[in-house]
Amino acid sequence: MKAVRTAQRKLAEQLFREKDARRKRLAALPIEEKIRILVEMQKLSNDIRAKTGREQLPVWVIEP
Amino acid sequence: MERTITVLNQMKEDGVILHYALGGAVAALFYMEPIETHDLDVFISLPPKENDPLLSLRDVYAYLSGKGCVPGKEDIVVEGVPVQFLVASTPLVEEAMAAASKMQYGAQKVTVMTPEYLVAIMAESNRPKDRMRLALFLGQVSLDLEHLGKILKTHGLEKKWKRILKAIQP
Repeated sequence: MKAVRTAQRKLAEQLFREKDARRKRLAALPIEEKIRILVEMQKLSNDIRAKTGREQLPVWVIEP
Repeated sequence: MERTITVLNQMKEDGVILHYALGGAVAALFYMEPIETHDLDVFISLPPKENDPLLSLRDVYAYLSGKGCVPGKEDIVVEGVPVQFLVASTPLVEEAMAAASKMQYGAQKVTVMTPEYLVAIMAESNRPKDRMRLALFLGQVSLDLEHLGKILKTHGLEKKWKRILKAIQP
């Protein structure tokens, strides 16, 4: 049982490390790329809003 | 968004505004991972000829409407991006605008608040979304802690800052 808990803790720590590393990679992207990601997030968020009957929010129209 | 920034720079050149600086979530994006937001917060200072900020904001809206921008409830869509123009309302925001730095976006220079001031403004506002952003921001952005400390002290935010840190740190 102890071995299982240790393995689970190690797995959780590894996942958190990977998540942190991913966040730092995203933070280091050029701002133009971050804005493109932001627009994709706005679209996804509106898809969920539409499916749950909530008001749509503006999606930015940015240059390609 | 480059076209939106071009318009902001043009507004300054045309004397509609004296100065501007990006704040809020989009300014934070210059330093941290992408987070969702739906408007661009632009802090502005207005020409001294007008004493009433509401009247002057009307001038800003009139200028932009003349360029085909569409006003909404709290914002105005400038080249596809809803922009919320905010007149500096506290000494901290005024100082943050003065200390903002020039950054590059495509071919345009854009004035963006520095991370230490963004943190101080989030602490001053202290809404749930500010605390959520702060938790992410602090984990990803290298701050000049001495500078941040001075800002917080100058604006009487030290105690509030300690309370926020206690609440957001695991």
